[in-house]
Amino acid sequence: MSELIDLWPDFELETVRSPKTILKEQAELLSQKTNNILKGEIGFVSAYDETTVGFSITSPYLNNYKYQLFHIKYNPATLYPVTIDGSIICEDETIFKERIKEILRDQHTIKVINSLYSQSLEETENV
Amino acid sequence: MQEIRFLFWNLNRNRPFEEIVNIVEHHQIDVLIMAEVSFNLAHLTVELANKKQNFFYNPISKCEKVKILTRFKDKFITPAFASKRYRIDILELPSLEKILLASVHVPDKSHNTLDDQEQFCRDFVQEIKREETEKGILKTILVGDFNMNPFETAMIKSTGLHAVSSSKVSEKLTRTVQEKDYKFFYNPMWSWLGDIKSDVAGSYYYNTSNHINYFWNTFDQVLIRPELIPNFDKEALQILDKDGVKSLLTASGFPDKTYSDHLPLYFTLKLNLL
Repeated sequence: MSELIDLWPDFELETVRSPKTILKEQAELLSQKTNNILKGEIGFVSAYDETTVGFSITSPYLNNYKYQLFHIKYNPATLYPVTIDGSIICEDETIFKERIKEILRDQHTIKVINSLYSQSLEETENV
Repeated sequence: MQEIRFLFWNLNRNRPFEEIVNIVEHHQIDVLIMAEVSFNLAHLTVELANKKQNFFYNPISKCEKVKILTRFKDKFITPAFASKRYRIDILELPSLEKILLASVHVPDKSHNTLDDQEQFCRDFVQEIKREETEKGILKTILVGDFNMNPFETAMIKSTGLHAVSSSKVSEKLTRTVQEKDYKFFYNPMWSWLGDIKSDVAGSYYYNTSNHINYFWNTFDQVLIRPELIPNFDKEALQILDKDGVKSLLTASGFPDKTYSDHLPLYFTLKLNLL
């Protein structure tokens, strides 16, 4: 048998965090920050060279009401750039995390969280 | 093997949050099953979270009479069936064998006849069998307030819950009556009739002036399919008369109705790794 010819270079394998993983972590943190009343939820679809991930805030105490906060799109082979809500383009992970931080800290997001949290605790619900 | 700890408590429309949190902390409960819940579960979830006990409103079910909070994310416990008074959920934790968790609040005797209770149990058991067949799960646990003692007809009748006192008998799996096979449940609560195991002689105390008066009743029960008996810890099973901090009884030794007229039921399962 002839020897295998290795045309590959020597390279180090690295594990990188995908944009979806970063959003999953934020979803998990929302539960902790709201005493497990609200949940961050990730929904995703992959088609051809595009992965779409939606980030929603849901409340099991409001019949699983779901509010989609934003969505992102990226090529699963390259991960970056990531497009947020079809208009904000993030060239790398650092910029992506900065933009997500801005969205999560936005007054509108806080207002949605407070509104859903308060309604979840209303005595008229689910009694 | 991984141990899963369950608590069932009929709350009698009270809000014994402090006592529930105490029990959860003391026994490290994983699955909290409640009947006669009159409050928004979100408040209890917050109380638990304040004590660093993370519970989720999973699975969401249409069942009105039995509510469940668990430490598990929704992908690990999913609803299979729900009606007003009973629900069947599938508990499928990572790398562990899956089980069916059926929970119930059987109609009481003050508004229903014994025949009503029997028919209810017959319908319920049919639904359990249907889910067992459809989902291919033989390991089923059934818990709740049955509003009947273990010895009553609907609890033991072949067409009812068919729940016997002996694990050995139930390990025959089925019994044939008039050419038809009926699956068994094992009911360990038979061993909790009377006061030998505990200061309390049941889970619910009711004193009447009728000629027949049991005083203590064991209405709150856990029933196990024979296939699940090896996973069930008989020694861990308890009708709790303490929340881990204080007594749930009055000075006279009856359930303190400030908390509930029922005492909570605690049990564990050791699930096998796949």
